[in-house]
Amino acid sequence: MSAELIQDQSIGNIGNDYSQYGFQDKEDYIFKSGRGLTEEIVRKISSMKNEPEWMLKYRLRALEIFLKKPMPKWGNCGLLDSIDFENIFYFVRSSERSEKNWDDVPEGIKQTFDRLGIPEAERKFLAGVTAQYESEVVYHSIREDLLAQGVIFLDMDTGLREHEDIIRKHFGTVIPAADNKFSALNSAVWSGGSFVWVPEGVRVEIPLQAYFRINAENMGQFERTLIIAEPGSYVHYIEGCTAPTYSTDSLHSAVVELIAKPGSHIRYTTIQNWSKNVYNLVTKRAVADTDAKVEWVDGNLGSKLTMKYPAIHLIGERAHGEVLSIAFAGEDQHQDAGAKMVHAAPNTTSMIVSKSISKNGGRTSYRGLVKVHPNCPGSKSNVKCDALLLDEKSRSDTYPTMEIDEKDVTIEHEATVSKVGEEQLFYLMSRGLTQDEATAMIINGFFEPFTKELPLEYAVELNRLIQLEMSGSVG
Amino acid sequence: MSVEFSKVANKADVPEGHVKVYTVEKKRIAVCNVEGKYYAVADLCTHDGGPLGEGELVENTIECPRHGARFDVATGAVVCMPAVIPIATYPCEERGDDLWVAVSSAPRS
Amino acid sequence: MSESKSVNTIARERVDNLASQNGEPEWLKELRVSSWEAYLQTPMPTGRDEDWRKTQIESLDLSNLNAIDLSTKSDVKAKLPQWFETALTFFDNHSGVVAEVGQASVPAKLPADLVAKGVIFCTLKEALRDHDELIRPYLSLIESDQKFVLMNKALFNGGTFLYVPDNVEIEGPFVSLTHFTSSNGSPNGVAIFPRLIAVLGNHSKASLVNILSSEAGKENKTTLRSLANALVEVHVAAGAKFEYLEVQRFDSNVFAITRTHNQVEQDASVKSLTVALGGSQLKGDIATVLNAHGATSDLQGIVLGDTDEHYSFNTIQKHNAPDTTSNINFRVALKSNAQSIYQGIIEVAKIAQKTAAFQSNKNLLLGNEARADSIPKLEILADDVKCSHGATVGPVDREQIFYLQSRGLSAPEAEELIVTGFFRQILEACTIGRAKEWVYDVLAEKIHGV
Repeated sequence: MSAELIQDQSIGNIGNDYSQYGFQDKEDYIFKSGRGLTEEIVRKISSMKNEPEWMLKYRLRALEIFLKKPMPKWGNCGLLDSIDFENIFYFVRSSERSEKNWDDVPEGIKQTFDRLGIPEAERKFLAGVTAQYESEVVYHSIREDLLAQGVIFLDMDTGLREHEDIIRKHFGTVIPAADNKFSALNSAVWSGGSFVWVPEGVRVEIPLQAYFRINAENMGQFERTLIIAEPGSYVHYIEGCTAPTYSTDSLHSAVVELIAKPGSHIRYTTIQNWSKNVYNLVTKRAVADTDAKVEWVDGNLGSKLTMKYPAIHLIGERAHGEVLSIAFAGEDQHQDAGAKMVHAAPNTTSMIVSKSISKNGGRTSYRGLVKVHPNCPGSKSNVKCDALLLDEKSRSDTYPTMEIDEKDVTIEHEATVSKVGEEQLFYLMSRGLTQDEATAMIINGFFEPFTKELPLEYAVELNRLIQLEMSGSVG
Repeated sequence: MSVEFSKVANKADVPEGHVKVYTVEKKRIAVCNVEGKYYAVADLCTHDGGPLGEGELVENTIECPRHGARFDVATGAVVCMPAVIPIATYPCEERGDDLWVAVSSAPRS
Repeated sequence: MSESKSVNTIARERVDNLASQNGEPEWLKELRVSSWEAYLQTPMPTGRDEDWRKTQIESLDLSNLNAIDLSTKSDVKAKLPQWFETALTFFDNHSGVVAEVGQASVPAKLPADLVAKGVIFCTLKEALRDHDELIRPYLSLIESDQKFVLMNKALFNGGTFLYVPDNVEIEGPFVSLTHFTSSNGSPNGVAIFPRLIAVLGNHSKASLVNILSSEAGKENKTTLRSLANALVEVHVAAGAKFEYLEVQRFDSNVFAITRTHNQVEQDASVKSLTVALGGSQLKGDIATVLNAHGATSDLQGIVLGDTDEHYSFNTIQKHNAPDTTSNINFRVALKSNAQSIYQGIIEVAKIAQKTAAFQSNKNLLLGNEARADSIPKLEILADDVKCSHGATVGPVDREQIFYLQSRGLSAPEAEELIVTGFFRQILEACTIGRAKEWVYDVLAEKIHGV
């Protein structure tokens, strides 16, 4: 999110009526979900949102599946097994969310806000101290443009209410509840997230940012996002922000489904910088039809444990998929990320670039899959994973899998692990930079293929954040 | 090519809404009863080799228990990901009280 | 059709019998028994275990195998397979040949000067009989919790022992053959459990060619799979250099499970080439532990698969000490509907700074139904390292074929040229005798489907 951009807008408390902007209605009711997950809670969630019967049924079935499915036996089982499902609030309405005290916000986070120049109101929102954050003026004008083009961009709850047919047809068709334990959880208790529908042939030139449509539920634990790009359309969606986001909810389990119909193009950019108490277990998958293109641009900076493997299923000829991913793991962090590409049609192409950095005992893991089904000749895939270890306490793993069931393909994979080159460092330091500054510069260069794909303000902020991390001024 | 049917089961063995797996000529076939009509599909999910036959019938689709992929039992078409390749289907006939399935060397799918 | 009588030789009874029929010392019987108990406690792998994915372990029926006693009788005039006699001509400067052909064994005739230096090269049976105190520690030095390794440690009955004392350097390679007939006139499968132990003393130097093979035999009524469960343990002491060539060529009755473990000490090196040419299912694990400062290993692999063959190789490079280097170059070419799955892991411990580790797996798909999976992994806990891996999968470059055919070569000739070209770099690196020429010939035979 652009610090400069926000500073230019006037930010005031514009009152409580957001209905004209398509925000959720703020009903007056008293409900706090209590800890733990029960059928009663799922029913309450659905009834409070006034959902149609089929969605309630969907949630209940997902709950059954969640309770039956075992925990994964791979990945960081030590951390995963420490999740206490009984001790989580699965649904707290934003109006009920007790506003935290600014004094309770960790010092490290406040300092980062300072150094990144995050404006006051934005800080309070990111720290969970205020429940609402408005960029009303900006959002309002963008929304008018979208309406003119026929683009739908709403939060998921409203989307379900106003466009039930489209959602019913596509919801859960890319990631069913039974996909894994955490998609089942999300399918039972999802709340918030975005619904985007782009009509045929329409190009949405400005990136859609979840940030604009804000209330605390966007930063919710169980967001559900569905983006449908009709044939020939283009949209770029951005979620998250580089500034650290403090959440007392320890489990975040989002589900993102992208449907790229023939000839369309979806780019989905994420930068997550959750506070270090958060378990961020996300299922993201796209399906790309004939001549369609999907790009996941995925930045993982925060959280205690992130497990996320954006996937693209290439089901039509000449479909193309790309994942551009960076991961930064500092002390007590494990970024377990990667990508999955499934080639299920001839002449499909995919590219994965993964860059990760571990520092201060952090651990980064790349987990990837390139699968080519039979009868998909002409498929091409290229995977490049690079990992930097900044000190001897840190760790890096690479676990790629290639399952190739077609002869006429070109599949390439390469990975390297090393530390920052001494000659490079020496050269920069001989030019007057301190070791930290030199390292920051090298890292920014290392991440450059990713950063250059971000909108400018994000790129600028990411560079600044890296500098902070390197100078040790970020906790 | 002539299609040879083999007797696979008794109709009573596959009650409505249920799926049972049989091995016919070394192939594992899942026989499904959807509202009184019988269908035969391959017991192998095209996503990750999951045991489709252990899954549930949801309306006219069969759902793989491993990751939730769904297929139309009549046509084998994918109805829900993560599968993207259809499953093989086989002709299934009721002959009296019995169910016969044809497993020729080239399945229809 | 004779019924397959239930003949269960993979059983505790046999463990006890082996010890007594071979006249083994008590300590050896105890080792066998404790391996057997550990074997029983270990669950059988399934296709859902990462290491065993896509290997049809269910096609192996362990309860109906006739275990063969290898090298029961020493017979200098035993008939060696013709192809082996031919192979020996490529190693004419060899330092000794040990051959186990089914129950017969042909002992090695070591040159007198090597015997005088204390070099030992003989069948495992002879080693246990004549050098038991020397070999004793090596039988339990390398621990394992793998089910089939434990099976071998309990039931091994045949194999080879090479011992090179400190500072002895030997030019001519040693050659070991273990060959059996995979059928025996009954529908039951047969099983062999050869174990090879090679010990190189400080600053010594030697090379070894190990051939594991089988033939279907005339009375091939076997309907169940036969099992070749081989264990190779190589101990390379400080400053020693070991070069190793292993050729696996089993017939289509055989399910082969082989495990090679190289333990490399300070400033020592292992250079090896594994050539896999057949079996119905061949699962090979090759582990190299670089245990001390300066240890290096270079492992090359060639797999040439054909109809209905299935190969699963798992290479493990463990860097436990600083300044260690490893390299793996595994190339797989698959005709027809052959399948291969390559898994490899490079593990670098926290203290293993200045490690350099590389891994490359290239797969060439020749047949329309050939399938190759590649899973190269890295787990790096030290930072001052250089580690990389690469993998490729693809068919022959069409332009290459077109070019060769336009020069008058037939399609089969062009294919042979391309496949041997694909393996050339690896073969050129093998400096044992005239191994590269011999392996070229063997590969060419298989490419032509001879």
